[in-house]
Parts: sequence; C-alpha cells; structure tokens
Amino acid sequence: MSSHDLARLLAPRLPEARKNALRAAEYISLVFHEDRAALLDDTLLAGALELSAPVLRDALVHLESEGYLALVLSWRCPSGRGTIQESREISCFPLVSDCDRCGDVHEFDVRDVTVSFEATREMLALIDG
Amino acid sequence: MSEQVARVVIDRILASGGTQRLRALLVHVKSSSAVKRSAFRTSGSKDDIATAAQEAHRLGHVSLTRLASLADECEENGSQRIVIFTATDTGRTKLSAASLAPLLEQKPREPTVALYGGLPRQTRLYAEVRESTTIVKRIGPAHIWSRDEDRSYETSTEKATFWTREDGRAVDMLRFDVASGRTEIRIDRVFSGTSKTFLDERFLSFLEALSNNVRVPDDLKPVPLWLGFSDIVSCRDDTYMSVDSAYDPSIEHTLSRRRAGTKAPDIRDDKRYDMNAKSYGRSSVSIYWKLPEEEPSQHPRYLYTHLARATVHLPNSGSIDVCKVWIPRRASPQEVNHVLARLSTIAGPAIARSS
Repeated sequence: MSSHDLARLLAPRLPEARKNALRAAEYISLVFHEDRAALLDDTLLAGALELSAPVLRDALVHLESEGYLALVLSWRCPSGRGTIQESREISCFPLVSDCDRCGDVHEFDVRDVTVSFEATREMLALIDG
Repeated sequence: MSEQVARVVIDRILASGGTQRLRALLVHVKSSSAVKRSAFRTSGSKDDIATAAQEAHRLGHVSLTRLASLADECEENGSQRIVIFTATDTGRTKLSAASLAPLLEQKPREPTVALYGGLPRQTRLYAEVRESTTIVKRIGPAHIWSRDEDRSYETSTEKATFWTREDGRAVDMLRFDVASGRTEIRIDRVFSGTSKTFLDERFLSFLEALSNNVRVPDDLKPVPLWLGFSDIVSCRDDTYMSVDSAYDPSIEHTLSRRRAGTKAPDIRDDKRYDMNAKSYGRSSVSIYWKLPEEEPSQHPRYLYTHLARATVHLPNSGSIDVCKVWIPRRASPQEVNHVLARLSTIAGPAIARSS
C-alpha cells in the first residue's frame, strides 16, 4: 500500500508515530491524488491532522530532503488574488512583476512570499503505488 | 546616413521584442528573391540578427521603409492598455482624412533617427492612413521615478529614500476603422515597472492631445465590454483562467489557483467553482486567450489580458465609464486583433441587449 510506504518515511518525525504517521500519509496521498499540482504546508497539515505545525514542518522538510517533496516559494499578489510567480530560490524573483491575478504590476516584497511543497515524481509514483 | 537610420530602426525592433519577426523577415527576403546564400545570416543571436538585417539593408534587399514598418508593428501591439470606442457620426467626420489633413501633413516623409531613437527629445503627434485604418500616433518621452534600493537606507536616527528617474520612449495611438467606426486608444506601458496611475495619466493626456480633433464622449463613445464579463467567463472554448472574482447582492467571492501561471487546471474546472450563475457580477476579469495555431499544438500559446471597468474623470466634461483591456506583453498585430475581436464578439450580444 502506497500510504504505508509514505507512513514509514514519516514515522521517525511524528509523535505517536504508529497512529499519526499513517493518518498523515493518507492525508498527503489524498491531496496529491485529487490534485497532482497541489501545494502543502505545515499550516494546512496542522489543521487537517490536529498536530503541531513545527513538528509537521520538520516532517515536510524531511520528505523534501528524501526527494519526495520539492520546495515552492510563492510570491503572492498583495491584493489577495493568488500567486504571481513561483521559484525554488528567493533570489530568482525579479524586482517587479506583472500580476496575472489582479492585472497590476507589483514590486517584490519578501513579506509576500510563502513557503510550501509540491509533490515530486517520486512522491507521485509512491502514492500511485 | 541611411545606414545610421537603419541601425536605429533595427535597434527599435529589437527593443520592442521583435527579434523573431526580424528573423522571419530576413528568411522571407532570402527565400523569395535572388539573394546569395552567403549574403546575410538568418539565424544566430540577437546581435547576429541585427548585423544580418543591417547587411541585408546595405545590400539593398530590405528597404528602410520595410524595416520601419516592422518597427511600427512591433511597438504598436501589446505591452499596452487598450480602450475600445465607437465613433459617432460627428466622430467619423472628425476622423476622416479630410479633417485630419493637418495631422497627416505632420507625418515624417521617411524614417529618421529622431523618430525611431530610444529617447525622443520632443513629442510628435501625427496621423497616417493605412489601408482601411486611420492612425493618430503620439511618440514622445516619458518618465517614472523608481526607488533606488541600493542608496536608500534606514538607521536608528535617520531614514532616506532615493528615487531614480527612468526615461523612456512612449508610443500611444488611436486606431480608427473607417468602415465600422470602431476606434481603439492604445496607451504604451513604456516601463516594466509601470503603474495604473501612470497609464491613467497618459490616457488623459492623450485624450487632451487629441481634443483639437476628436473628443470623448461626444465623438467617441466607450464600448461597455463589462456588460459581457460574465459571458466572457462562460466562454470555455479558447480561454484559461486561474482566478475568478465575482459578487452577488450578499457576498464577494474569489477563487484562485495556488499555482502560478497556467500550471494548474483551469479554475472553472474545480468542483468548488460556482460562479457561472447570472446572478454574479464582475468588475474585472483576468483571462488568458488561446492563440490560433496553424497546426494543433500540445502546448498552446496564450495571451493574457486583464479587463476592468473604470470610471475616468474627464477635465471639464464629467466622467465616463470605460473598459480597460490590459495586455502586459508584446504581441503580434494578429494576436492583439484576435483577442480584441473575441472580446467584442462574446460581449456583443450583452451590449446590444442593454442598448
């Protein structure tokens, strides 16, 4: 079962590993089954799993270091309309950018950047079983 | 002298994102006339293409007029805000060649360094007739102030912000289709860091510059494309949306894909999307248009537009509502015309019902 493989990866990073690792793995599998371009972060997981955000952040970083997740930095539209640009590195964002969400031009501000993770091919292969 | 002008015109083409179109022109010239294979290159870097175009002109294979026409095409399409109007009967008369004769006489007889240079010293306003379209064009300098992050500082006792002036070349235009009366006013974005305020101010100053010849709204009535915003959003054949925002009498509702660009599925395909109902209104629409391809492609090309209803306060003559069509990137004339035609076609029935 794919969720069990993922649970094995998560177990060393979560409290009450037997219970929580499988729950977390099933949730992550479900998210990427429904939307292969979905983005995960510790806040979303904390809400869904009722676990602490720092613990879940550590688990996500662990999956990233194992190659199952990839970091996505999202430059968010300051008018609240979504993501303007994505990058793996903060230095790759330009100083100004057209926004295809609100039609304006925005100056880069690091406070508009959020951190999340996308599934890698390895993750998709794992959850596809 | 001609070679110097050619170099300036070629630089204008490149600065307006026309490298591939210049390359296509060279390929066309080489394939359609008796030109030696070794006469000039048709591939390579941007600099290689510029050198090849210069050589093709020096050898007499590409005229200065043809290069200038390509430069016009490149800087007149995309990277601009467009507002569509319909000319009234008086507007049609005022935009006729006879009425515009003084402006037609202002058109330079041939391309010059002053006309195509990167930083024009003066503002020129002139008209020209191209087949069934009359153009009134304003070319001149423009500037914005950009914050200089390197020199700006903040300490515990003092803070200072430095601003650097950026100068650029602005090409604004009015395009009047003689047969239909359809008129577009196109305002150049000029700078990558342009702002809505900059575009608003230049729109008003262009209306002012045109006011000796034609006036809004007496001669040019804005086309209320916003009446068709819901129809545009409902059109799924050749569009992509990553965000939609609408309101009804009780709520405002925005759904947005978390992924940037066109990476994720269309937001209208999400099972939670419920903004098709006619009870929703919209003040703006962000939408990509799939561009026609000669052959079906796995990776369709899109042109992004942001459409927004806005009230413009005219000096001494009240206010008007217009639909601003923002096309942030350069595009070909065919691409811009395709999108504007689609907008008019889709919004047309709603506009007709309301009038």
